[in-house]
Amino acid sequence: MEPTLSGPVSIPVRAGIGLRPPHMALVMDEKPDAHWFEVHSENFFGGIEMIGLLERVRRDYPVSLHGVGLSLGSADGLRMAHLEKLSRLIERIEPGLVSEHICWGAIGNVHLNELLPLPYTEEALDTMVERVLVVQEFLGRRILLENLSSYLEFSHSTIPEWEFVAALSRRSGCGLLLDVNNVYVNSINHGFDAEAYIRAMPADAVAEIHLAGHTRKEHLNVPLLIDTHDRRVSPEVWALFDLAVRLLGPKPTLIEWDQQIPDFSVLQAEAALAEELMHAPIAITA
Amino acid sequence: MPQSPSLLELQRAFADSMLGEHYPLAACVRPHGLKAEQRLQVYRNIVMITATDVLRTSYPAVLALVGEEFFSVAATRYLRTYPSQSGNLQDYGAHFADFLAVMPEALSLDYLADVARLEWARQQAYLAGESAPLDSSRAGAVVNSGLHLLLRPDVHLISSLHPVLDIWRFSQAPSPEGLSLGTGGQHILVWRDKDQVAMQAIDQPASRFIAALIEGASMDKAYAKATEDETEFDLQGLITLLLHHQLICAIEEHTT
Repeated sequence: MEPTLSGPVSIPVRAGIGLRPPHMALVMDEKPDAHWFEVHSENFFGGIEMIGLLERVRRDYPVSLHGVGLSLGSADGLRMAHLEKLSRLIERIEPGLVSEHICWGAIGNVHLNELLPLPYTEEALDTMVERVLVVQEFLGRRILLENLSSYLEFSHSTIPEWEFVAALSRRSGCGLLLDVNNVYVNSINHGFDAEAYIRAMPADAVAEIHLAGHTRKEHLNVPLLIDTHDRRVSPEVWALFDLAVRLLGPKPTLIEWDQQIPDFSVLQAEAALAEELMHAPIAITA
Repeated sequence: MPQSPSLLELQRAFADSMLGEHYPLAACVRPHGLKAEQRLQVYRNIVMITATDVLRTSYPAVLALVGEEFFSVAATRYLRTYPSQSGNLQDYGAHFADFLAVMPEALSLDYLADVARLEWARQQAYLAGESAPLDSSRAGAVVNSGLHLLLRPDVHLISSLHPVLDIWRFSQAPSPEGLSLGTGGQHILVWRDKDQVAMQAIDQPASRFIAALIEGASMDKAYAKATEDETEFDLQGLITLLLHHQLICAIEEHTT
């Protein structure tokens, strides 16, 4: 019997790495340099082998659980069976942070298994606030909610996205996971000022930052960026991250890479770049 | 579709736009330099690619047997017929065998649905819960009694009129000699062995015995099933196989 974990280990204000199945064995066997790891919660819902692997990773590194399937914004109610599975995983792994998305993905019995955008309306905000309160009560902890990348806006939205995100945190008490790449992608796709978005974030509520690569869809009349997580962080997103660090202070920051996953050393190099910006001397404070 | 739909109306129309041929939601999307339909199509493509990739991972033998083009047609139609019902994609694809069994273009491949059944059983075996194996010294005395022998939750049985285990193995590593489809049916026991999925062909009486156990029959009833057509049944050999791989997790007395 292996020793049980000795209580949650908080996520340090350092650059961590999104750990995906192709690198699990390497991380367990070689214990490479990494300040912390984040995994997708749903990858560990079934399959005893997988949970065992994650427990071993968790003995050596702080771990954050990032959900992609709870569908918090569904109009027809919270998916309780999914929440119960998440709760059991939290009890077993004792993560430093638990996060989900400001989105929906299921209606009725149909799960589209994607992170889909909400209309930014008072109804959607009320729905999200109510759900987040229930989830935090059920799990007995604060969760972080992440801003989404999106490829369309609904014409009846009445609230700017950044105000919706800030209001959700203010009204539900949830923390925010600020995905800087998603802010940039949306600023191009929907034509808003990315810097103003960052400035609208409540610094105390932002508890984590995500960074990832995106691609540009070709042969369209207007630029459309897709949040593909299949390459290095773009220079524009590094610049926006630099601004975010100066405005909000350094936060635990994660490198995400989900498709065409490269050698682990590439992820380490991206994390090192983030560290440089996080701990650079601050010349001017905003 | 109203100009300002409720959240429920919007989400239903969005789901219809992803799974159907049309975009009932287009009137509610800001075009912003594109057609509203183009923006919805980005999402439809993403939903389709994710679902197809899940099937590709779960059904590698079906993919190898039918090829990429056929597989993606089947995957697209499957998504529209059996959309995912779970936030966990490991659950997606449970009905793929039933779908292939009635897909008109696949009817000539009469073994395809059974290969898909075998692949789904493999995935279920891999994902099944843990169970402590039985102390093997207890097993010898209970053969052919009214006791119930419980198999581990990862143990599955696939019975087919086709040599599906041979087909599965051929699809993963084709041999130059080719594959004979006329060798008769196969009964395949599937289970998890550490972090791998193991498969072994068993004979028909043994498969009837295992099927009866899985359905909850007692040992003596399962034995009667196995021998109902008076073919020879090597019970000792089967029990030895189950013990060797530690596939039995309990022996119980049922009062009902």
